[in-house]
Amino acid sequence: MKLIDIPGFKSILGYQNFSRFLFQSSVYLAKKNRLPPRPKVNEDEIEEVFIKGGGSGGQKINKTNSKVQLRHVPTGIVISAQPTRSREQNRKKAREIIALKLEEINDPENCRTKIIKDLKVKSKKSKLKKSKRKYQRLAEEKKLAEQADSNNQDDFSFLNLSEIEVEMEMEQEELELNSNSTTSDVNHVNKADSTDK
Amino acid sequence: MPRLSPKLFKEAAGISHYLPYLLPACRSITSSVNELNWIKNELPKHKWLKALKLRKKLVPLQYILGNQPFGNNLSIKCEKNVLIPRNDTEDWVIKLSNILSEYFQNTNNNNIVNKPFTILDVCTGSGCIPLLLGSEIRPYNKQISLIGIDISNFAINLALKNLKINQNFLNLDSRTYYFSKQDLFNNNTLNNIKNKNNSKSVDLLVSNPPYIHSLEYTNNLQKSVKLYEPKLALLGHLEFYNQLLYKLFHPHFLNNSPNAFIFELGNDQQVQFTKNLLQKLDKSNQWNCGLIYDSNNLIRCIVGWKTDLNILSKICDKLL
Repeated sequence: MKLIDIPGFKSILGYQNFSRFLFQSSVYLAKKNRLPPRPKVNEDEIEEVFIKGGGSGGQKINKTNSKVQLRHVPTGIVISAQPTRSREQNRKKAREIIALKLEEINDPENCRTKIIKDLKVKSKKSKLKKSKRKYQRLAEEKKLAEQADSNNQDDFSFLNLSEIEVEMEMEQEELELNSNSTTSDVNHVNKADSTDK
Repeated sequence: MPRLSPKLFKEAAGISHYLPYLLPACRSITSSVNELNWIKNELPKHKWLKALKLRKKLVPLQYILGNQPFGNNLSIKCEKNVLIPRNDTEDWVIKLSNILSEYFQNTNNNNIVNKPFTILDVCTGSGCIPLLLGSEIRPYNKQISLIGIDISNFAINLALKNLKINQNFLNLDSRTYYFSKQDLFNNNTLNNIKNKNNSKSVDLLVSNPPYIHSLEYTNNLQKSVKLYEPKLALLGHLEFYNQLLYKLFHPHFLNNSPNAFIFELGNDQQVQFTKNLLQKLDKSNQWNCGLIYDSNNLIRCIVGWKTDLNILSKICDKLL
């Protein structure tokens, strides 16, 4: 937040408001609000059973599972849930699930699950589109870059060649110089030989 | 118990390479998957393997994760040497708290709402029973106070820790919860509590004493319980119910005797014993008696009440 630590800035925009503006996606909030409310199930219409597996209970056994099974009496739908270790949490979750399921049956067009599903499909499609566009763009850029590369290579080849030629000439000169010195040495040795003789 | 087939292990390994660690304790793939999810959710990744290896040795999951959810909001810390709160206990404590909340909520009699109501829990262990009752009933009766006693130092220390951990849900008041190390079989226990409790009377006596018979302890006990949970909190029989009832009918039970009691128990023999002793001790014929069954339709609790607290008949599945 040091980025906007300009004197007078806080008083103009309001520090709090501005930070919220920065960090919370308004689009996300709007989407969330557009969803229909979570349905609720009528407590009189359901039967609740806690499933812990048969056998003895009490102190003799330490069971970790506390599955909650709900039966909706008028329709006969049965669901069971055990997402957490807490029985009370599982009870709440099971009620949510059965309420969603009932809504799905009663109003398949406008139910919450369908709307969420549609939203997901939509966002997936848009993501696919975006990624497709991105890769298309990348591919085009790559093509352009390659073309530019091939053009540039022609220019540079001429330059490079000329440089190499210059270098080679210099090397040859050096070699000649060296060969001169060696020949003179040989001559010198020869002279010494001749003097010995 | 039948041996787990290698095929099952192979199948589990196909789902996740962590899963076979959990099979010896869970004995089925679905419950192993659940436990694995809980371990993954509650522990950081570098502790998973250690936890799974402990679970393979049948260490109770609650000792590994360090807690057990109890009731709506409470999370009871679990430590070695103290019994882990059971689902069946949670069941009847929730029922009891609902009935008592209703009792305080619906009554128009101001005397009842504003009168202090004290619950004594004997063999409190982790302190789960008084903490849950307190958290649920306190909104309807500000004068409620809860006392927990246990013979084990580990238990009292853990109960005090749990009080601290859950203080957000407990409406803490220094007078509401009180834990003390006391021996039920000591003659001075009642006096000790009386002195610490400012001589208030107890209205409800609750207990989950050790109730596993020694024969069952050797032959018919879950291995994980037998290996890792304290014998002190498990092994017991009629002597506890005998002592509890004698204390209840003691002429000086904290000024006057409670109006009701609930004891958790394990078998029919204990029920018959408690019922007969109650009839023997109840000379003026004031007491009613009933049973609570657990979700597997086994006897779980015996309830006794005087006519003042007739509302407790609602909690019973069967009247005696």
